[in-house]
Amino acid sequence: MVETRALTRRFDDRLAVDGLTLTVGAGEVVTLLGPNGAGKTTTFRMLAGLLAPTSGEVTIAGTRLTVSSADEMRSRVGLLTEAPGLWERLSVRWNLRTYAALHGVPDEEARVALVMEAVGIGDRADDRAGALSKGLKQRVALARALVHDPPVVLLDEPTSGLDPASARHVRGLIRQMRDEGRAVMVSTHNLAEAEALSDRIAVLNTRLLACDTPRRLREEHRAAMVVIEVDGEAAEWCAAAQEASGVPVVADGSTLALRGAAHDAVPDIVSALVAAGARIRRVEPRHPTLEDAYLTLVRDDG
Amino acid sequence: MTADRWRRIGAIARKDVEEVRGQPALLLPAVAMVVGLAIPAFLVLLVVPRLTGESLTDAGFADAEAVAAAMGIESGQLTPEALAQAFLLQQFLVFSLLVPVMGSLSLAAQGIIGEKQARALEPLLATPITTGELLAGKVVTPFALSMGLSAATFLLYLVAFGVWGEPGVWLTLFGPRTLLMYLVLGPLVSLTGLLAAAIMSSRVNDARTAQQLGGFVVLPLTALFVAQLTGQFLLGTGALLVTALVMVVICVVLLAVGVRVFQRETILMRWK
Repeated sequence: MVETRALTRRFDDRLAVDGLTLTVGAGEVVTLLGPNGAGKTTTFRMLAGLLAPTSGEVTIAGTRLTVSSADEMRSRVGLLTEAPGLWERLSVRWNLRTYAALHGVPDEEARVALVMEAVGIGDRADDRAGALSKGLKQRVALARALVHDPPVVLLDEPTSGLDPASARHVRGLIRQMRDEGRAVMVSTHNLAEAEALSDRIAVLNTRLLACDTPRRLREEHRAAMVVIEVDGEAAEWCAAAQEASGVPVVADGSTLALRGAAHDAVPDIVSALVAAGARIRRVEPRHPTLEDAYLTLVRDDG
Repeated sequence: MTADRWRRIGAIARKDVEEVRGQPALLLPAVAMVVGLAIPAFLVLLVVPRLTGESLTDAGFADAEAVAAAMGIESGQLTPEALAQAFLLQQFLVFSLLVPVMGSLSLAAQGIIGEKQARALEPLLATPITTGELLAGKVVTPFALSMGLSAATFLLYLVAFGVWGEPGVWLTLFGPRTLLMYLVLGPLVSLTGLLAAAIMSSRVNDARTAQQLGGFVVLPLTALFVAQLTGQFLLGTGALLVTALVMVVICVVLLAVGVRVFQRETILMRWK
C-alpha cells in the first residue's frame, strides 16, 4: 500500500531523511520511533505530498508520487498533523464538511456524520471546535483525516498530550483503522503505545536503523540483563562476577549489573560469587524491553 | 476551470464566510470605513454650503458646467448649482473606490496568515487543493464583502443626494461614468488590492504587514483623487475604460505571480 525506496530529503546542508526504504501493507500498523529531529514528520510530509523528496521514490496504492500527481494523490492519504489545526470559530461539522468538499466526497453530509460517529463526536457536531477539550479536538482531527476514506493514514503523534482515557480511545480508533484494511503509519515517542499498537516498528534516526515486530526488535537488539544485589559495596565482587559470566559488569552501590548475561547462567554466577565470599540479597533476571532495544539502536547509531 | 476546481474554491470561500459570520466584529472596521469616507463628500457638498449660506457656484465652481459636459452630464437639465454639485460628486466618487478595497483588505491580509496561526495550513495543503485555488478561494470572501461595501456606499450617496442634494443630482449617479466606476473599475481595484494582500499574506508572518503592503494599491487612487480635485487631471469615460483594461492585466499578472511565489514547502517549514 505504501512503499518508499531510498527516500531522501535534504534541507540545505542538513540531511533530514536518508535513504529510507520501507513498505507498509494494507491492514498493517507501522510505527516510526526516533528521537526529535529524526525525520519522522518530514517522512510523513513527503508521503502526504507536502514535501518533495530530494531523491528516492514514494508509491501509494500502486501509483508513484510525483510533483504532477501530488495534488491527486493527496486524496489517497489521510494525514493527522502534530497539532490538530482546526478552525476554532467553526463547528465540528463545518470543519469536517469543508474538508469533505475539498476532497470531493460525494455525499458530504452522510460521510461527515459517519466519521463523527466513528470517532465518538457525533453529539458534539454543532459545538465550536475551539470549545472542545484537547482530546476531543484530536478526535475531530482524526475524523478529518478519515473523512475522504483514504486507504493510507499517517498519524503524527496522535496521543501526544492526551489524558490516559483519551489516549486509549485514540488507540482504539487506530486499531479500528487497521481492521478496516487501511495502511496506518504512526509516529510516537510513547514506547509502550508503540509496542501495544504496532505490527512493526521502524526505528528512525535520519536513516532507518531497524524495522521489525516489537518482539523481534526486543530480542535482537537488546541482550538480557541480570541484576544482583549484595551486602556491602558491590564493586568488591565485580571481578568475580565478570569471570563467572564472561560479560561486562557494572557496580553501582550494592548492585551489580551484568549486561548481556544469559538467564540460564545465573546459578553459576551466584555460586561463584558465594564461593568468593559475597552475601547475596537479591537476584533479578531482567527481560529486555522495547526501550532497551530502542536506546541501544539509537545509542549505537549516535 | 473544472467543476472540481470551483468546488474547492467554493469550499474555502464558504468556510471563510462562516468564520466571518461567527465573528461580526470583523466587519466593524469596514462599516466605519464606508461611513468615514462618505463624510467628506457630505460635508463639502451638502453641509458646508448650508451652514455658510454660500453656494458652490459662488465658491468658484462656475466652470463646472464645461467640465460636467465633458464628463457626459446633461447640463441643460441641471441648475448651475446642481451642476457644480454633480461635478464635485464625481470627484469624490473616485475617492469612494477606496472604500471597498480598504474595508475588506484586513480580511484578505488575514487569509493565509490566519491559517498559519491556527496551524490549519498543513492539513489544508494536505488536500488536493492547488495553490491557485487556495489563493482564489481566499480572495472570494473579501471580494464579496468589498462589493457589498461598494453597494452600501452607492446607496448612501444616492439617498443623501436624493434627499438633501440639488434637484436632479442623484440622477447623475446613474450616468455611464459612475456606473463604469462602480461596476467595472471598483471591482477591479478591489481584486487587485485583495490579491496583493493575499499574496503578501503568504509571504509575511503578520497580517498588518500584508495589509499595509496590499494597501499600496490605494496610493495611485489617492493621487488620482487629489489631481482631479485640483483640476490638474480629469478621468473621462474613455480614460476609465483604459484604466479598467490595465487593471484586468494587473489582476491576471498578480494571480500568476501569487501562484509562483507561494512556496508550499517554505511556508510549511518556516512557520513553527
